[in-house]
Amino acid sequence: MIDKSLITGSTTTLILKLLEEQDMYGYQMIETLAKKSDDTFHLKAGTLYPILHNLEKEGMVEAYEEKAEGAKIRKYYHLTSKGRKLLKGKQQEWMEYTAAVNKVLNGGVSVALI
Amino acid sequence: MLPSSDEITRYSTTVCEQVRWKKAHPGIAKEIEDHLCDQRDYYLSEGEEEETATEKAILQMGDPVSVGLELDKTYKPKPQWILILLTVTLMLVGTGARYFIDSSEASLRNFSIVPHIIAIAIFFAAYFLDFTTLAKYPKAGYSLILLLSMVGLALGPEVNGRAWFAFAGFAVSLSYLALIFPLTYSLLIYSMRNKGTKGLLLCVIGYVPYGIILLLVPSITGFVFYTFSAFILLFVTVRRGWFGGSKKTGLLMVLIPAALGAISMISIFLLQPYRLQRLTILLDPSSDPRGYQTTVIRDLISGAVFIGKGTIPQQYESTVLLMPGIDTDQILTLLIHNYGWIVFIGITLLFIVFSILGFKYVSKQRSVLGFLVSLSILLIFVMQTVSYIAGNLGYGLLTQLSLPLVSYGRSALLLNAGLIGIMLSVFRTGDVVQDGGQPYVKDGSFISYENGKLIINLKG
Repeated sequence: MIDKSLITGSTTTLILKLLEEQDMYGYQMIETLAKKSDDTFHLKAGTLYPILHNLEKEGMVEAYEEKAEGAKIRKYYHLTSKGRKLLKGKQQEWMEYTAAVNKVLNGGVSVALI
Repeated sequence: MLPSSDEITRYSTTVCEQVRWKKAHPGIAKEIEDHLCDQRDYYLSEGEEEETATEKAILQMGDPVSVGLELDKTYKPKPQWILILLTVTLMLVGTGARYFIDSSEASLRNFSIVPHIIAIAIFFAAYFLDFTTLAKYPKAGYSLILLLSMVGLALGPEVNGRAWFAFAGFAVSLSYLALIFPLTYSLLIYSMRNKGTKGLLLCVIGYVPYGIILLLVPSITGFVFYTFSAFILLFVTVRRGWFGGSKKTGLLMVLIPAALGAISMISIFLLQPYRLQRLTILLDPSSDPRGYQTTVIRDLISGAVFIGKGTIPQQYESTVLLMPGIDTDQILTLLIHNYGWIVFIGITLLFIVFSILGFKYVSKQRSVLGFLVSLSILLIFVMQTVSYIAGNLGYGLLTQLSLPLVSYGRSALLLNAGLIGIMLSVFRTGDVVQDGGQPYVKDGSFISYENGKLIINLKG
């Protein structure tokens, strides 16, 4: 189990990253995130929606309703170009941060991340 | 409905209770309930009992109070301070201008502050009004306005060749219907979500009656304003995919009202050739006796200074300023003459800033309802302003309707105050507005698999 505070800081980035690939509705995002992270990230829905709604307010994502394959009407979220820029920045920030943490953990030796 | 739905509703109610802005509640509740149902169904498919499945789903969502409190931070109406300030400033300019006209020696009228107070009251009432009420009966709204204008046209007296509507000592020129038509027409468009080509065709047909009314008034300016607004509104909605179906066919169909409008205008010019002379008068006002007013306006303006009172050109006597209608229809010309260009620049700047901010906020509207309502009002606002300013500088091709909130005329003042109030109400609360009607159905496959369920779509 990973410390929660580690996840909280990067939730927004993870949500944006999910939407970069395709438009999704809330439930789908949580499922996909769990699947993609080999069940490491079990994002609580109660955390997800306030973040999503705030991203929508800031114009990073757009919401629209659509009846997809099932009978239910879902509220889908779509990443805007503004949101893409934010994701890029956040990814960069994350890379720099993890590189620095790794460097310290490795006793001052910089290692390749990937 | 499953009995566990009660638990879910109770949860979403607790979440919503934390969000102070009530208008946001339905959207939040629906999304949360949908999510909980999905989660519960998942646990059910895993073999859990219904009660346990619901409990687990709720547990997964987290504490409803803290979720609600988090959401509350996001949901706040956006007070439109700058636009309110601009509106009130324009109203004050209008009050000042009216005082200036009514208290002049030549005026037979008495200045009254009452209409201005009513206008500001109407503005704020509309600002705090829930504009989505307009969308509850869109077709009825469209038809009611059509019926009222038909009655007005049939019963109203004719003043200076134009139809008026008189009621209880209050008379209003039916030309001003052009200010309301785009709004009610936009509601008709709104009601046609995903109705495909048929819906779009109904909108195209719906354009016609209002157009005919304006031609019967007759108000060519109103007709042009309305046709232009209808065209823009249809164009942007088709582009947004509002009607569903092919966008290409849609865009071609949008050209129909534009073509009908153009054909009407050409017919009018062929039937009433004197209207074309307006163009020749503009090019050379002295060539025609009817160009006298235009000549006076241009001469007065050429004698104006930057700050202070301008000179009246020699060929005129000072009584030229008493020309009929000049004090009511040429308020900007008179202000330029009396106080200099600086006043004109100041007033025009107010209008420019108002319009730019308006377009910025219109483009940010997420719901089609908010977008259409605010755009229909803003378009009419801008067109009135541009044509009035052009006319007051001596270059008006169309007869001017009014300079919103500023020019003389109670009906126009009250109508514009109400419309601008509605537009600002959209900017204030548009963020949480959700479009009604059936959402677009993606061409799903006949058989699909979702959340552990095999779905066979018999409807196709």
